[in-house]
Amino acid sequence: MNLRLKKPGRAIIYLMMTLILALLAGCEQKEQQPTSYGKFDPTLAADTTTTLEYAFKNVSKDYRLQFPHDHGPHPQHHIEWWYITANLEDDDGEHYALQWTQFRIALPEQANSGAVQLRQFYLAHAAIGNSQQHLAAEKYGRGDIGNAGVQRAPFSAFIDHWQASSEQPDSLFPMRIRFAHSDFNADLRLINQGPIMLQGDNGYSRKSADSSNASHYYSMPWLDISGSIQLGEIQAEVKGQAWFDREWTSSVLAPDQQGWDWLALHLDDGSALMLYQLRSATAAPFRFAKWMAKSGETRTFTPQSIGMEPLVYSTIAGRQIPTQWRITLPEMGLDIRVSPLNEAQYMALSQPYWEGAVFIQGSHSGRGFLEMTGY
Amino acid sequence: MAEAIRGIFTACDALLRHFRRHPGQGFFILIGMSLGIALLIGVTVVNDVARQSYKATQEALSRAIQFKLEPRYHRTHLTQQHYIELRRAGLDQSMPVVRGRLRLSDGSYLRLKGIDPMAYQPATKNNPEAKVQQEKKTKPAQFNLIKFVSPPYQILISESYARHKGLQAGDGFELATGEKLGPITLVEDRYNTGFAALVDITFAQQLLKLQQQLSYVALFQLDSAQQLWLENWLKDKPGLRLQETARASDASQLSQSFHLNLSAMGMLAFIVGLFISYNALHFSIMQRQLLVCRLRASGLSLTSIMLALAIELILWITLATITGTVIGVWLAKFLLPGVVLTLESLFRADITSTITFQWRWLWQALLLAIASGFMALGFPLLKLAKTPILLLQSRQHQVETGRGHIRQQTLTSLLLTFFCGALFLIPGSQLVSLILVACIMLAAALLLPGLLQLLLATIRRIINPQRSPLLDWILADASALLTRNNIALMAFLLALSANVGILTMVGSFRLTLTDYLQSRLNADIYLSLPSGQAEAITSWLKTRQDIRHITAYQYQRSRLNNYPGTVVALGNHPLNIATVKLQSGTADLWPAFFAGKSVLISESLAQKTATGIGDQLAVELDSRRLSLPVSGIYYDYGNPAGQVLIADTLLQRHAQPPIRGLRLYLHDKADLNGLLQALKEHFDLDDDNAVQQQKVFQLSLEMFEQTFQITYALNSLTLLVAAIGIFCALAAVGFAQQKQMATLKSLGLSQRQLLSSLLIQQLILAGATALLAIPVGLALSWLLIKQVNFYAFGWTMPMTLFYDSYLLMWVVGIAAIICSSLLPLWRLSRIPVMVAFREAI
Repeated sequence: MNLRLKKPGRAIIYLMMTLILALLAGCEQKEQQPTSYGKFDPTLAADTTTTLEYAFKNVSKDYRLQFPHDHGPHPQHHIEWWYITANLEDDDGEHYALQWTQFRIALPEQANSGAVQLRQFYLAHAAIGNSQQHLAAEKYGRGDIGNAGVQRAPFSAFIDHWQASSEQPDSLFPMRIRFAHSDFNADLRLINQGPIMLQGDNGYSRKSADSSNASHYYSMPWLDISGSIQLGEIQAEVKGQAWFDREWTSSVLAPDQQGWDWLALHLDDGSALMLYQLRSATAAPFRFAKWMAKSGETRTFTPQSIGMEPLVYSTIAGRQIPTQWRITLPEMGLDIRVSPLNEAQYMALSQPYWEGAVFIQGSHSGRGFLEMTGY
Repeated sequence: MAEAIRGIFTACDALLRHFRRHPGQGFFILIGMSLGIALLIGVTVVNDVARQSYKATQEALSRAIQFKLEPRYHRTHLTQQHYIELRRAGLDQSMPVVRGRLRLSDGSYLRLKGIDPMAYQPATKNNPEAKVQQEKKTKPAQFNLIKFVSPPYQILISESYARHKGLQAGDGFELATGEKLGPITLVEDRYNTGFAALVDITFAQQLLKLQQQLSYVALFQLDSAQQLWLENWLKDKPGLRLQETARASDASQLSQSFHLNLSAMGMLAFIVGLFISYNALHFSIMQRQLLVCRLRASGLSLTSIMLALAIELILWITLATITGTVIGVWLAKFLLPGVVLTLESLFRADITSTITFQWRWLWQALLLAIASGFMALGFPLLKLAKTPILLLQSRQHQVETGRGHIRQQTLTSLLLTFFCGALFLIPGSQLVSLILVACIMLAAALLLPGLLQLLLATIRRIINPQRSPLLDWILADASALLTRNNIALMAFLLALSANVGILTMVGSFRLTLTDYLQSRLNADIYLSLPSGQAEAITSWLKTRQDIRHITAYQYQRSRLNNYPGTVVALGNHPLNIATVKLQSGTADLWPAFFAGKSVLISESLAQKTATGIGDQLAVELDSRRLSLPVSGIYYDYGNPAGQVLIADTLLQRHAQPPIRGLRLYLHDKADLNGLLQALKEHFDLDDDNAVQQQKVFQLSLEMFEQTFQITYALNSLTLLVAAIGIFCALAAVGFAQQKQMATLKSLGLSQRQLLSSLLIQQLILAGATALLAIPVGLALSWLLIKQVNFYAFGWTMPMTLFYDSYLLMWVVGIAAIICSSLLPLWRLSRIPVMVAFREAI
């Protein structure tokens, strides 16, 4: 079975954004629903899917991704995001997790002239954590006010003082990323050490078997990252490995899944492994895994051969969340135990989810990121 | 024990049965007490709500601003780019606001406030559930983010502002340009959307034609590093300034005087209310003296009866407290929009018209009810306990004790008058002047019954009882009646005096203000200018033949002897000098003034900072501090803020405030409208920017009228309540008079004769009471003009008398009493003889 589904970690965000959009756009039918911004209710998903799809440019199988052009924004598409996760370490060997994401959402609106125009909205998430604490924050912005936006060259994605910007006009990296909240902040530099990995079919990533939904999608898994962070009382100089993801689309998922468990791992041999499962209420979980080498070589696996087994559940914010996993890929002789840097790496935002740094031990070793939603 | 309880129960039962037979009397007590309470609570609520809004947040979705970044000069704006710079620098705890007024097709204005609902996310700890809860609390259910921020845009209007504008949910409205907007979405007042339509900032900028411009940026929770950054950032931006919210609400200081006026009205209402509730309760006891006698005669112990009365009192207090508070809050709801507008236009204070119920109000109401209850019941109970049973039954005895009361009242009144005299000897202040008002009103009220009795006795002495026995009876009975309804008459006297007093004060004020405005507004056209346009307009105007003189208007906000105020420049030209209406000044002050060696201060500044002619005034101009002698004090009505006039050359030497406006003086034959039109077209000025003298004049007077709207409203209401008091009192008195009526009827008096006799009684009492109200009212207005307003606003003015209005007041007063007594007296005169005898025995 060769389903080229996108990574579910991104899919949850994707779905989440869709729902926000649906809440925003489909408010006619939802008059009785007080739409506090970003409130998430999966039961709303089904009937608020693609009411505005016509207004947007669709992704195409024939589109060839070009760089650095496609690092920049695609304002004619419905939604888009820039996503960085990093495993960091300071001089004393203390480990840290870091996440920064900026979403762009275009909404059609009827101008006074009667013409339909698009207005750009932005949403950003940021988090820093260590083995003791995990701090997260989110931010909203509007293109028409001007304090939020994404600019192509030199690349810059920003909402207020949270921003990721290229140091050179014609190249995405080296990139500087900065954000600050009341009790945490970061100022880091990223340098790319590997190729751009096009996901799906040359960067065209199908979301369903009948290919009615798809996105443009690429990743850059081999980034060196260094700089300074503050986490509560801690001020630290750090360095480590980061992973960059990019995706944009105008179509929307029809979600029958309960949630996702997604892993992006840096193995100590220098290769990268991405795998996930979609949990369904009615069927067995759907699984997908992809191994990538710096040379550009990739391997995929049959879903049946992928083993993902929760080992330990933790109670976080009143929910039971599996924070330790056993992962098996017999085809490449992989049998690892995934354990978190801190079991409470919980993103307590408008739409809460678990995302944080993990370590792997067993047949392979390394570190990476785990994202879990729907618990 | 059980017997005692049974005794109390029997007494209660008997006492309350009285009301079943005479439900009107129960109603009288309830309405009397409730209205008294309602007046006090109404004023208290209005005051409280306004004060709360000063203290509480003035921002869109109710949060405390620490700082406001705003343009230094009125009518200028800061650019959106400034705001973006702040956000990009990390000052993201901020909210951009643009506000203004939209002219509607009916000529009125709609106040508009634009915000960005996405700009500020209150920081919550890691708890999404709490966050959702908080959102629910601070955001109305009708609020829909996407509808709010995108066309056709949601327009949120608070219920009270909608009521004020005559709009309902779903209504639209039309702009003067013909553009139609709406439908509007109503939100509850508690969400503090303010007295303006709340819309998305982009929409507001479009409507107000202020694209990329902001009125101010509200900044929340600045830390010290951010403050430091901001101060640095502001260094090269002279047009902007950071205002601490504590300072931004100087308005709350200024409007104290308004509240003082309101408090004075509240106090008056309280006194009237106290009289009415006292009256109501007192009556119910006196009415049942006979019943009490019978209960005592039939063997019930005095203690049981007293306890039963106490229980009844608690019942009335509870009922009246609740209804009174409800009516009071309702009354405040009715009055509040007017108050809000006044405060906003006069003091530029941001007020919300939300009434959040406070238990304090209920306690206050309870206190009033208890006070009047104990006053009303205390004496009668004491008397009931002491007086022998048989004596109590005699009407003669009642009248005698009533006369004794009147003597006591007259004595108290004289004592109070002496006290007032003593008060005049100590230095005046707001508090003293208020105490004076209270004492004089009380003294006048207490004097009334004595005076009326004196009057009746005098008339009786003059006329010959033999020649007209009926008239003699009328007078004698009126004197007896007085012992029973004197309290209602007192309340009425107070209400009517207050009306006379307010009429005189406001009338005097209006005349003074008109006169003052006429000399102050001597130019033909007033231009208020967008920043930077002054030069172009001036040079354009200079090319025209029809302009006689142009005066530039420049001022600077400052602190004057550490009191917030403005420094205004005055040019050396006869036309400019003519605008200054001096209250006092040194001889030949102008040469020194224009040489920059002295200043003139407004009357209210002189009063507030206790600065007189010859004193030094410290003026802060930018970073410099000048100290100059005061050579004159000028009238500055309508402006409760401090103001100082300095020579224009002096202001320009030390500060460079922009030219805010121009005053144009035209040649006699100039075409005023043509010039206005040409100006508007040439420089894209709208109706607000270029105004004829006549319009400024009208606007000023309108604002003045608005200030006293609530005074008028409360005044008429007090009068109405007092009239209801009279009605109730007579209705109650009538019951006791039945026997006499029966006697007169059986002597052969027709119903009509009887009714006219009773009306003559009322006419005499009403005429005298209303007549007395005029001198009392004048005394009150004298106090208000010379004392209360002087200490509150710092304005002095001559007191003018309005004889025709007093005559009208007198007639209205008599008419009110006659009208309110007509129904009870008619009913009384109509009762068949037999019934009356039976009832009365």
